[in-house]
Amino acid sequence: MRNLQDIDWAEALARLHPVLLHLPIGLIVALCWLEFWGWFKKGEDRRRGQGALVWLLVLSTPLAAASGWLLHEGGGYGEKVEWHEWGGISLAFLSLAAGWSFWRRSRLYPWLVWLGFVLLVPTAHLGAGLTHGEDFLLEPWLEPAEDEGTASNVQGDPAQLVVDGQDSELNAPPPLGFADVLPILEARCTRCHGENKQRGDLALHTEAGALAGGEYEGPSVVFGDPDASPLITRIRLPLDHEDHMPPENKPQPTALEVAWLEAWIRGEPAPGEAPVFEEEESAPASSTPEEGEETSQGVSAPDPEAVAAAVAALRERRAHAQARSAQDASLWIDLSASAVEPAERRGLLEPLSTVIAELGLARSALVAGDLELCAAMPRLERLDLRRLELAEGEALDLGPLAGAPALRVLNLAGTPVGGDPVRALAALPALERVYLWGTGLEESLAELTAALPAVELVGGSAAPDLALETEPEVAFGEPGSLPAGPENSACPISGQPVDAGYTVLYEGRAIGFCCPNCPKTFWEDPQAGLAVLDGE
Amino acid sequence: MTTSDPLTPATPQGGDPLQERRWLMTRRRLFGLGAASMGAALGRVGLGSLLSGSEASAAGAGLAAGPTHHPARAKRVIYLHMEGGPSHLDLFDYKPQLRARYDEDLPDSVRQGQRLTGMTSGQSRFPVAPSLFRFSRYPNGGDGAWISELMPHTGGMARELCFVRSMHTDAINHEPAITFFQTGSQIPGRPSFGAWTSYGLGNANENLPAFVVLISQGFGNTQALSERFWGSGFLDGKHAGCKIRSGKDPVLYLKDPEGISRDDRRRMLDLVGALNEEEEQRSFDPQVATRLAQYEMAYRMQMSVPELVDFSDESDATLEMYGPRVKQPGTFAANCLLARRLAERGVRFIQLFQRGWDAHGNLPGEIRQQSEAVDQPQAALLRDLRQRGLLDDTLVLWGGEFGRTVYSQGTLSHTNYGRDHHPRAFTVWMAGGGVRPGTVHGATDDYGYNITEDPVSVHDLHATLLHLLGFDHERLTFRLQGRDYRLTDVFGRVVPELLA
Repeated sequence: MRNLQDIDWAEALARLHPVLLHLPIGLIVALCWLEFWGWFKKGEDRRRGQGALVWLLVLSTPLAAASGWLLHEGGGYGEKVEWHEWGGISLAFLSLAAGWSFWRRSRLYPWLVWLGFVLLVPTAHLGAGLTHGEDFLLEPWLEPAEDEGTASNVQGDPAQLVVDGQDSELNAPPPLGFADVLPILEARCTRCHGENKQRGDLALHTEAGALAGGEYEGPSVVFGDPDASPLITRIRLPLDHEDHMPPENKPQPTALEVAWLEAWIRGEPAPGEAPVFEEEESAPASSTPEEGEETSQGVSAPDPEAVAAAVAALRERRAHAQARSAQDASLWIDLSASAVEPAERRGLLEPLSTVIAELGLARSALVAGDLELCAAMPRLERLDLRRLELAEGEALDLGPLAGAPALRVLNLAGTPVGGDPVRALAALPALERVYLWGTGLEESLAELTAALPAVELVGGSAAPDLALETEPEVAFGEPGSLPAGPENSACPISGQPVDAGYTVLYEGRAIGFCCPNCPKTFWEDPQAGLAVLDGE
Repeated sequence: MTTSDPLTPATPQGGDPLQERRWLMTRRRLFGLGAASMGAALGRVGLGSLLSGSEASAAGAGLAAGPTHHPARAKRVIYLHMEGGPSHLDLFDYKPQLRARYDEDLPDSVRQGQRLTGMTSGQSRFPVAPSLFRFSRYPNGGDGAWISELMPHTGGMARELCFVRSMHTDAINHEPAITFFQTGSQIPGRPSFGAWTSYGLGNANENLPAFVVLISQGFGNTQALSERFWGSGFLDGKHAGCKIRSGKDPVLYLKDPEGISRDDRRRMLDLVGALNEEEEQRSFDPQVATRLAQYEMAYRMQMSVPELVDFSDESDATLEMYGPRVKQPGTFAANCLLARRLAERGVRFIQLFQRGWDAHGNLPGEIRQQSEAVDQPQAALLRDLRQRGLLDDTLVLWGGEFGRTVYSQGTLSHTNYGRDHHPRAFTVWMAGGGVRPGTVHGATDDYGYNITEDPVSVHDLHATLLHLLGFDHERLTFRLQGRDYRLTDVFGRVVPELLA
């Protein structure tokens, strides 16, 4: 048990919601029943029994509503909870009104109770749907979903997967096999649950492994029943649930991919087109449909999951990736000390091209297309191309960098630059400063400066400045300018004999004191001290 | 937390309820610790929280931290610590009027009964010792900066420099004063500035530690340097400074033992890694992940450190700029060049210690040699950073733990004097990394004894430096034993006049 002061009381109350809510349900039904009873048994005194129940109603309904509200605040529920919540809150007010009218013996009371019943039914139904799932009540009445057949045109919502009425058993395509969903598992799961690593003893790179499951829950896949297959139920859990898979910070499967997995488990044919993955290793998230839309739109808010996945892929290769500040959603990426191969750089950086503000490629080898990629980054402000690895005699042509819209600072120190640097640099509209030391261009710095007047060109660091002036020979005051000893023999503060160790210089006079404390008194009012001395 | 902690059994024991309970308590404590240490304290939002998420799960596999509180002006710090307390009066705080007061007694109105160290409190006289070094005025884009003949190269860089002549500290002796400058507290045990930086910023190069310490011996009176000056205190051990030495083994115990090949090492690490990973999954102990990451870091350092300390790819012009001693490993000159190489490679906090500034006697002789050792290399470091485009985001800080007294300790003559510790006013300078260049901030009285304008405390300096690194010093915290600890404790104020 936690200590009392550690308990989150709001959460404790919130968790009581499923218990508390049954009280108003029973009470409203009971009160309605009593009204109904009253129609037939007129004259019987029901009031006392009613009073006790109304009391309980007035107390329990607001409590149930409040706990429900807290539970919603705690998170983890979708939009469907809204209607249920409003229903519950309305019921709470209605109960209070009913209680008030009961004690006022108002004729409104029975109507309010009936109204409560009318409101109770949808509210309770919505709430039950949240906990037991949609159509929990109706399921035994409906045709079993599995028999509904092909879902030919599934986009997104897995719930719609099987409700397509186009039943055509005759020309049904073949059911999905393990090989069909393996690319999905490889993109989302097998990095931790695969051949090389089996977190929680789970390996999903083979069908046998998926059926065997891991150490926690038994089989991951129960053929025919996605709802009983942890592989599916864990994906369906809210993202912030601790049992959710893949982990929150890892790339998540798209709705289409989940639909495929479910279809495989049900033994159904493919629901729509196959999910597309690029090469297995290079950031699966770069192929999500959302991502494709963004690149075509140019600058737009990037998909956070795609960004997170791309950053994770970079960090896996020990690249430095850091958000520049908490307010500003742009990145500083430095690959100079990473294990990123030049050939894979483009694939890793492309998903981030709209959020990179600083890019460090120092001490690495560029490949064709790298500078074009940089030029297309809309927010790139600082680009570090220090000491690039170039072949002997080769020089960097900055031409492809032309047009980089936000580039302010370009560091070329130590990298030989060729081509037409003036033209290349002039084609950078936001350019403020370029470091040219060791590029071979520092020789022609004057011409460059003339051609690029708006840009600060740093060609090297000048030798330290010379002094503007130097003071004349140091000359000290004459030693011994201090009077040889104190002029007085008695302390001006205490009147005690002077100790020469406590002598103070004041206005050219050496004044002796008896102890280290008297000078402090003297400094508080030197004139008074002098008056004592001169009166001596 | 160490593995010898009795509360931490090596593995959870099944069956024994007592043992299990102890284990649960440990795990709960670990969760508490983990949540606090993994960036929760940094209050991240938006894209940042997204990025820091992967950090939390990697738990040290990557050192990279989340975003800073505001955009950083400096990405790294080079701290040139002048251990022993250099005399501000003979280097940067020009007091020409003192020359006329040679051998006069320091007036009590100046000292105001302030405490002295045990080394001079027994002196019967406190004779004023003016500097016997000539000062020159160097251009700094404004009125110019007066700097003594001991630091001509540094003076020539005055356009880049921001002098703070009004530093003051609380401590009067070396050990507490260095501890104060390094950790924000005179009492040992807090994390050092470099460790806080590593904790806040993470590393930008995962082949090298985020915090590196380089030490050079001095010519004057030398004081002890404790390893805890660059310790991590209660922060994770990976944030502690890593000392790079000048000898055959730059980093101790990094080399494989005789007869062990790098492949053997790899196989051993893979096996140990697999075992540790199993343990991590069972125990959720973040320290296991840290240990794993550190093994891998050491393995990578076996390659990165020899390349780092090999100066053969430096041009003659560069070596010449740092002066003749640069070729002598372990000198301040060599360490300055090494500092630049570390900065180039993304190391976050590079701390140099130059020992030997504690000139109680024979100050003129000692300070001449000390200055000669640091002047040209530190100016070259600034020039080199500048031309490589690194001075923009590298903050260089130069200073001792306190200044020295205006009165002479021991005998005063026209050619010799000593100076005692002086915490009440002294000079430090900064350059680069968002610091306002060409600045002289604050002033002292005619005796260089008390501050007359704009005092800057050590906490203020720390707050200002953290500000430049992108942090609100009040929000860069670590929760320990119910308290949010900061580098600046409960003090500190960002000094806006020092910011560019």
